[in-house]
Amino acid sequence: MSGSAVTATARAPSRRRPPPVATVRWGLVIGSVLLLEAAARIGMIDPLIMPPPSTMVVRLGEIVAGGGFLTDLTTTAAAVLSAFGLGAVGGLLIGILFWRLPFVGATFEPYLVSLYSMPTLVFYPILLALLGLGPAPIIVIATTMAMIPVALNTMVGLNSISPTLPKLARSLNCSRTQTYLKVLAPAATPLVVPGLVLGFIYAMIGVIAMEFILASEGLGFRIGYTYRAFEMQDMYAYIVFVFVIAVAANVALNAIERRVRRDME
Amino acid sequence: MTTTETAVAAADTAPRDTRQPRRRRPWQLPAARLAVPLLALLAWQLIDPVTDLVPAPADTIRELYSGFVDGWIYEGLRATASAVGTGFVLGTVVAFPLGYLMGSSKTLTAIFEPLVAGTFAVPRVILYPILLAVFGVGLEAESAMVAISAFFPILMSTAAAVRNVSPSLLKLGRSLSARPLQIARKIVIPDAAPSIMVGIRIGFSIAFIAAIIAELFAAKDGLGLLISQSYAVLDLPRMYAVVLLVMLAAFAGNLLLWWAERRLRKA
Repeated sequence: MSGSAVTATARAPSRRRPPPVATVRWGLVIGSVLLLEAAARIGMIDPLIMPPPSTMVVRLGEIVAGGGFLTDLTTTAAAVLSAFGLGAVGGLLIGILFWRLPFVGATFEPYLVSLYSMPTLVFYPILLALLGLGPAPIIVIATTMAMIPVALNTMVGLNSISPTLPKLARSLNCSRTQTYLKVLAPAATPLVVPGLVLGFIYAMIGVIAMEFILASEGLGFRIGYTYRAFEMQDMYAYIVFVFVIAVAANVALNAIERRVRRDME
Repeated sequence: MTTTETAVAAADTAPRDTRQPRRRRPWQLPAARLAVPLLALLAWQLIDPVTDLVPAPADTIRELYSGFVDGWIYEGLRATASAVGTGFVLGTVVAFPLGYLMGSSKTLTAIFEPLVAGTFAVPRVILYPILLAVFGVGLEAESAMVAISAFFPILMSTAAAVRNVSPSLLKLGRSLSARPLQIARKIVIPDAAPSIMVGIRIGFSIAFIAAIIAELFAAKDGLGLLISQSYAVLDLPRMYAVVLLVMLAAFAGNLLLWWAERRLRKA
C-alpha cells in the first residue's frame, strides 16, 4: 500500500516533466540558430565562412524554385532507392541463406560484421574504372553498405524464432510457401524491420558521401561543387536541405519501426 | 510432395537450436573462416589476366613494400595517422564526459537524446566543406571531421552504458558513503567500460572512413590523397597498394579495439 503511494508520488513529477523537457530541447535548438543568426548579422562570423541562417533558407527557396534542383534531387533519390532496393533484396537473401546453412553463416558472419567498419569506399576508383562515371559505382558502394545490416538482422531474426513455430506449421500441414510467408516472415519481422531501416539510412549516407567525392549530379555533388566554386550561400543552402531531409527520413523510419514492432507484440 | 519435403526439413531442424552447426568437427569452422580471405586472394589473382584495370596481388604487395623501402608512403601515412589520431582523441575526450553526464541524468537524456539520435542519418561528410571554410585545407579541418564523426557514437554508447549500470551497485556505493568521484571511478566506469569500448570501436571505424573521404575530397596529404593522385595518373599498382594499406590499417585498428573490448569484458 505504502509502496504504491511512494511510486505514485514519485511518478507525478515525471508525468509533468515531458512538456518542460521538450520546451528546453526546442529552446536550445531555436536559441542556437538565433545565436548564429545574430553572430552572423553583427559580423562576428565572416560572411565568407558562414552566412546568417535566414539567408541560407532564403537562398534554398530560390534554389528550389530554380531549374537544376529537381535533377539533383531525383538523381540522389533514385540512387538511394536503387541502393536500398538492391541492398534489401540481397541482404534478405543472404540472411535467409545464412540461416538455412548455419555453417556458411558462421563462416561468413565475422567478415560481414567487419565489412561494416571497413572503408569500402576506397574501392571507388576501381569501380569507376570498371563501370564509368555515373550512378553505377555510387549505387554499388551504397548497396554493399545497405546490405550488411539487412543480412545480419535477417539472420539473427530467423535464428531467434522459437522452434515451436515451424513445428506448429508442420502440424498444420503448411506448405513450404505458407511456412515462410505466414509463420517465419511475421515471426522474424520485429528484427528484420530495424535492419531494413538501418539499410535505408546507410544507403542514404553512402549515396550522399559518394556523390560528394565522385559525381556530376546529385545533392552530395552539389555541396562539394558549390564549395569549390566559393558559392558559400548555395553550399549552406544545400547542406541545410540535406540535413533536414536526413533528419526527417530518420524520424519517419523510426516511427514506422515503432509501429511495426508494436503491431507485432 | 512439397509437404513431405517441408516435414522432413522441419523434423531435421526443429528439435535443435538452428544456430548450432550440426555434426562438424571443431577445427572445421576456423578452417572455413581462414579459407575466405585465401579464396578472395585467389579470385583477385584470377581476375588479373582478364583485365588491365586490376594488377596482380604480387605486384600490389611489391609496390606497397617499395612504398616503405623507398619511403613514398610515409608522408601520406603520417598525415592520415595524425589526423585520425588527433581527431579521434579529441572526439573521445569531449564525448566521454558529456556522455557520462547524459547517462547519469534522466532529464539531460530526455533533452538531448532525441537531438543526437535525430541526426544519426545525416551524412557527416556534408559538414566537411564548412570545416574547410573555417580552418582551410589541412590537418585541422580533417582532424575536426574525424572528431565530429567519432563524437556521436561514443557519446551515445557512453550515455547508454552509464544508464545501464546496475542501480544496486550505485546504492551500495552510496551506502558506503562514497563520494561522486569515487562512485565514478570504482563503480560506474569499470561496470560501463565494455559497452563504452563498443562505442569507441564504432567511433574509430566511422572516424577512419570520414578521414579517407575527407582526403579524397580535399587534403594536402594523406592516404586518400595518394589514392586519388595515383588514380589520376593511372598508376594502378600504387593505387591498389594504398587501398590495401587503408583496408589493413582499418582492420588492424578494429582488431586492436575489439581485443581491448574483450579483455575489459572478461575482467
